[in-house]
Amino acid sequence: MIKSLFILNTGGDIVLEKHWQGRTGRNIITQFWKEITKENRTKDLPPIVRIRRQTIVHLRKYNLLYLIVADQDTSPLLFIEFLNRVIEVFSNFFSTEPTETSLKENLPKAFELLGEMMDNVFPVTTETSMLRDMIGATMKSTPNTIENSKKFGTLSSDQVGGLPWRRKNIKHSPNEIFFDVIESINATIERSGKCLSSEIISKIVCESKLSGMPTLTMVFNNSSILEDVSFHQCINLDTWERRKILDFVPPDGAFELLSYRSNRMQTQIPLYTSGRFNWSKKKRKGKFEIILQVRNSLIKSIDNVSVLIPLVRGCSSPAIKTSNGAVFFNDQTFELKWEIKKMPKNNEISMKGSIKLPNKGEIPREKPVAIITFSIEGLCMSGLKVTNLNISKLKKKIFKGVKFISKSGNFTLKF
Amino acid sequence: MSKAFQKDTQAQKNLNLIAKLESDNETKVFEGMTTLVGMMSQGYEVLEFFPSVVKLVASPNLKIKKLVYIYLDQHAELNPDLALLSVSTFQKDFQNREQLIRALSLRVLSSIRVPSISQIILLLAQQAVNDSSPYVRKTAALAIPKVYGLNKDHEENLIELISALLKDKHPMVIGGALAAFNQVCPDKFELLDEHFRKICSLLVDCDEWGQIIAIKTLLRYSRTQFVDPRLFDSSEESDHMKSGGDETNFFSTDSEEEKPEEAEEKESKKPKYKMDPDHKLLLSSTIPLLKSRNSAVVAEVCNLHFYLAPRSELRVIAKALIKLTKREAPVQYVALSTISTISKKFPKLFSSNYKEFFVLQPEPLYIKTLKLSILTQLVGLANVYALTKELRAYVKSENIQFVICAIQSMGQIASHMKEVRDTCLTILMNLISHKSQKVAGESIVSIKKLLQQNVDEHMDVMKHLTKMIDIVVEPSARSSILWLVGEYCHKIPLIAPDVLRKLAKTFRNETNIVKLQVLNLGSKLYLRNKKQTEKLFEYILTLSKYDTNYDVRDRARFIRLLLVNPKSKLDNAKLEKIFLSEKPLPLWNDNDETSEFVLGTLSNILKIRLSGYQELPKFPEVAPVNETRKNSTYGVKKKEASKRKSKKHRKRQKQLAKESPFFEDEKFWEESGSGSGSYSGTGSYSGSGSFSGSYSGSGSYSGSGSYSGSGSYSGSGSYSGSGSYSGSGSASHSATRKNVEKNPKSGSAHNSGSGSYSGSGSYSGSGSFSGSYSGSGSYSGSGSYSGSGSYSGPGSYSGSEQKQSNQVNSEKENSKNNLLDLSGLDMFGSNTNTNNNTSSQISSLDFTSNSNYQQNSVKVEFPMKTLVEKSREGGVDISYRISRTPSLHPGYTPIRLYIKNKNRNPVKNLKIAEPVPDNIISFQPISNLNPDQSYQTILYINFNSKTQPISFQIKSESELTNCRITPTTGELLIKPLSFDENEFDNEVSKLSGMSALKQQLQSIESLKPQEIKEKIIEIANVCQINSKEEKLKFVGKTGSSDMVYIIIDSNTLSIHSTNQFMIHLISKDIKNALKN
Repeated sequence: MIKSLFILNTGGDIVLEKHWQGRTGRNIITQFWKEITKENRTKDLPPIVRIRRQTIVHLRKYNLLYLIVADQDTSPLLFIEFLNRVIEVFSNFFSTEPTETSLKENLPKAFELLGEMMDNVFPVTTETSMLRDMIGATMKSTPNTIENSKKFGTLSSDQVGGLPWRRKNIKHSPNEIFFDVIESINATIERSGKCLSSEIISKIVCESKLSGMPTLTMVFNNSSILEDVSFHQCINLDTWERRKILDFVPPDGAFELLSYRSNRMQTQIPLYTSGRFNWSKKKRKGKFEIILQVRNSLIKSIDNVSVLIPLVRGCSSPAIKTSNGAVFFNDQTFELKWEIKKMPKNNEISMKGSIKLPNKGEIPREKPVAIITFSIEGLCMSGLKVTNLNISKLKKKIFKGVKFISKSGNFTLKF
Repeated sequence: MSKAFQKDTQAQKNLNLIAKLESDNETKVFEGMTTLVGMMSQGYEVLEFFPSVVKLVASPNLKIKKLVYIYLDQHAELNPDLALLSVSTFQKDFQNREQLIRALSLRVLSSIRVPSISQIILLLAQQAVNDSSPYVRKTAALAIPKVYGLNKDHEENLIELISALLKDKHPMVIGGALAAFNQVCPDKFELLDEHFRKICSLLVDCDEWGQIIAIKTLLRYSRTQFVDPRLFDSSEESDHMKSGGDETNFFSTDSEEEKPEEAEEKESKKPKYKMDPDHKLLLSSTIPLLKSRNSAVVAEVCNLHFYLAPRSELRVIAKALIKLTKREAPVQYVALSTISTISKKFPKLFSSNYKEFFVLQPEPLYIKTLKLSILTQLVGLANVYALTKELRAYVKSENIQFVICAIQSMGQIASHMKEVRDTCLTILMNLISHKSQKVAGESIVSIKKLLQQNVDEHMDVMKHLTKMIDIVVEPSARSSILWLVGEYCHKIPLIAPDVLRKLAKTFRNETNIVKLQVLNLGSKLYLRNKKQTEKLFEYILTLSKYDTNYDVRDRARFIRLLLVNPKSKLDNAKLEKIFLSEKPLPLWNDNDETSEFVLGTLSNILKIRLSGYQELPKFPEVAPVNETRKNSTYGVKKKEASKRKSKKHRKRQKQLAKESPFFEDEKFWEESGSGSGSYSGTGSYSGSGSFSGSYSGSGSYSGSGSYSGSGSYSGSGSYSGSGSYSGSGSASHSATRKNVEKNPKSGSAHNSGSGSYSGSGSYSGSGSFSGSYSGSGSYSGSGSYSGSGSYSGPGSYSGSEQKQSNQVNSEKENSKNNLLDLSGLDMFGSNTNTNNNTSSQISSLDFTSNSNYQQNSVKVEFPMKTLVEKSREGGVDISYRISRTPSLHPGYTPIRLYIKNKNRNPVKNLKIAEPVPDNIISFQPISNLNPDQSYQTILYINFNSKTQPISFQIKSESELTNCRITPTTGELLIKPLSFDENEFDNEVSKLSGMSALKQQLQSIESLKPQEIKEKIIEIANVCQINSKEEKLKFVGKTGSSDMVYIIIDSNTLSIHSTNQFMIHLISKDIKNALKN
């Protein structure tokens, strides 16, 4: 079970520590830091490690390292999800990403929040809205208001009665709710341009500014796309099972409504790509060529395409020609980046060139990969559409909208 | 210098802070507290502020109070004496109107780890359990493990609290209650019996953390309750699984797979398996949770299904787990470990998804290696070429560690799939010249293992390897080559001696494992080819004799004595047996130990047994009969049930019309039945015909509790009444469905209760109906009914003695809710044809069961409790009642024992076993008790004003029995002799603050003062004071002579006493009593 939580900055200094069961000595952190910095293992150290007969679960977000020290056995994912929730709540309360600076500014509040989120060793309240009521939205503005603040947070009966994610008496003007359907495509492409594997990982995020307790129903054109789906707590599972309709009272503000995964794609992968890469032994050089083209069937335009090639340490002096866009070479990280602001509709574009290997050492056996990023607004690759969005219990005029964005997830070209 | 200066400023700062904290200005205090909390969060030592902070705990400003709570939460145990000062404030806060504050005070108080306050926390928790706010109740649940951690003596009380909390219907509370259950009494599964169905149906509504706990608990519970569904997996199904994976799999360690003939044989012997409906309910009610956004919930559901679901239903979790692997790295890591464990057992489950586990370049190493190990398990004919192609790419990676793992995987795949063995060998051979010696070494080790499997086919590889000895440096690789050469030196007779010659030259510079292998090679060659190698070997032995490593020296000496020493008496055949024996084929270690940890634990991930790790219980061979669970009346889908009901109803009526005239009678009954009329059968009813008649008796018992049979019947009043039929064995048992199968006992009992129903003959047509309510569950809750049975026994109304024993019986019956034991069925049988008659019977029975209270409205007799059940003791039935007669021994409470010998033999010398505890004054030993003779005696117990149970042993010549008596609070009091109102008021006015408690009573308006008075006198041994005012006043005395004053003024209850403990207990009891 969770004994303590530490938050470290990038230098390994403790920014915050919270203990639920007695105090955990700091030397375990020192030891951990040694472990994680050893041989540059930052990336390769498993998220669950054993140090000094204690278990440490750690994850990194916004340049902060969150560490849980546990002494009893329980579900490993419980720790990880708890940390995720802590980060979520922090960013809601600080109204900015929880970075080192923002955390330091909000230390007492963060500490108080952690106290509320976990009782003894068991996570209790992890919903922002409920925590807001318990803690009082602003602790910053206290000096002047403190005298009158005899009133303390109250929990509405609704929150206790099953809607912990929404407070009572929310008022907004104007009333609006917007949905973003964000589909990320993961694909591995062979050098010939053939797609080896592809899938779509998508989520619907929502920004809700509605008054009162509105009930929303959302109907899709083809609910079978949502076969492999995860829902926010607010969605009524029963209705979904029976009628394949989303039925929910949304939380206030921004949240992720659902996420789904799908292997079937209605459209072709919108960007065609192929290329080759060879290490030449004689010249100690890498020669390469990459071709990109927008699929003819695509009506929307693709903007901000970039191709990133991480190269071996010590590479230098790129000699590159491109038909469009600009190429940058970072001689610290040894990454080559090709950026295209706007993709032309009908022509293919290409990058050709070579890079020098360091004078000594072996020729790498492994060819690099090209990681391609792009985003297309208004395209939905899985073919999901919202056919109906109904909001009941709210008489006022409501602005509502659904936006589709398709973008690259893990999109790699293997040479 | 500068350090000292820093210290100074720090001290100065601290002084400032203390000044702030002790200021009168709330804003300053608040600032101070905020600073302090900030300091805490950075890990500063802030204990020195304790005195200043403790004072603030009573601050009226809630924001300050909250911060003080945060401070105390973490520091109280370090300064327990000062912390105790704050306890009374917590107690006061606990009466606050605001649920958050009530909860917070309890939470913080319970976090103060000072053992001396465990009693107070317990008290508050006991109150909190009945709080109106579920949030407070949940906090109470979470306080339970903390009390347990402080003082294990409270276990009894805590378990009581847990079982009270488990009754809660609010999903928020369930999670907390189960968390407490897991920490205090994780194996007391009987507590869960009656709540199992409720928990299943509330699961979806619980918060995510509650869901995790609940699923974990239900998994462990179910492993003790249901039989293993996979034992019954028919061979067809497993065939299906095979064809699903469309090839035979070489890694499946499936012990369950059988040869077809055997399987068929087994099949015929195997009883047909039908899953327990509760088992099914659990599986189906967890499936929706796979859609949770919380990966921990999803993973727990997968674990549950992995351990409980039949093999054919596992696909759904495979999909969910794969989805988890698309999340961020930490989640992916855990999901992949889970998959790796599962695929070891069921490789088919994932084999069609093998592409999901292809390694991507940017992934961290721990993900890559896990994926590799999964891929290795999934290999089969269909994917082996694709996999080899992938591996070929992986071994080119720049990450050495990863390449090594890939080589191991390749070796494993090649050893199992001969289709790709050549390809893999080629790839591995290429790697020997890898720039990293580690990689080269690993590939040689793999090649060695592969060669061993079939050396003749790969002689070319062998020869190539021997040449590599000049190039390879990595010791493990060199020693592997040497071993191979030695092992197969007869197949390469020309090369082998040459290798030895090379090694003899470099011997001095080799590492130890290489040296040992050189010796090994030498001795093998010496045996096979003595002529060529004798001198060479002698040279090496001499070198090793002076080696720095004792292993090498020892080995050399050993070999010399065996082989070269002329004194050796072993002949060549024996030596060959020693050195050249046939080696078993190599094992590929999967990097995994045979010990497997339960999924969803840290131990499983880390492969170390951690503290707090719980082994999963083994499935029982036969599912235990669990009446309580089957009887639990929690309706699963009430609405649907009633909908279906009406449909069924109509259909049934039509059918009735067609059938024998007898059914028209039934119809009549049904309609005359009190209109409550709802029997809410659900889909589990197969065939409407089967059901007819089953509710025919219904009208008469409509008032009684619900019929719950198999959970599918939601609480329908009417069903319970049909009890009259249960005796009618004629209704065939052929159709007794699930219930009977699950519960053969009740089924048979059911059928044997014969003939009670006179019209039964005509029933035969509708035979199956009896099944529909055959579960004794049908009577659960119908208290009046079950009680009635006992009364119908002949002659039961004569003589008070017997009446009491009857009552005891009826209580027992109630507790079991088991009609089948009842003896009075025949009476009902004769009465069933006339409706009125039956109901009048009931009402009269009700009357009698209540009569006890009625006569005692003035002088209450405490209800009788069973001390020793006849089944356990040697036929002696003992019950007791706490008597309210004045005690002969001051401080001791008189307990009246009723002893009856139900044995055939007389019982001799019955007494309390020596040594008699200090707090008990024993009765005179009973020298002889004849069969059926009863005896009354009085036992005195000093409860010491505590509600903790008192244990002792009762001993007869033949038996020794453990007994335990738990008093209720009210009985701890003693009625004072005389008291007048003035004195009363006077005393009450002195007792205030901590010694007083004022509470509002709800729903008291409906009660008349007389009723209130009766109820209070019923629960507590107090005496009423005649008052001039409208108030009701009572007074009682505890064993330690503390007076307790109770005042009820309209709907306010106030209790005053010097004994705070008593106040809380009594107030709780009174509130409970007045609630009803």
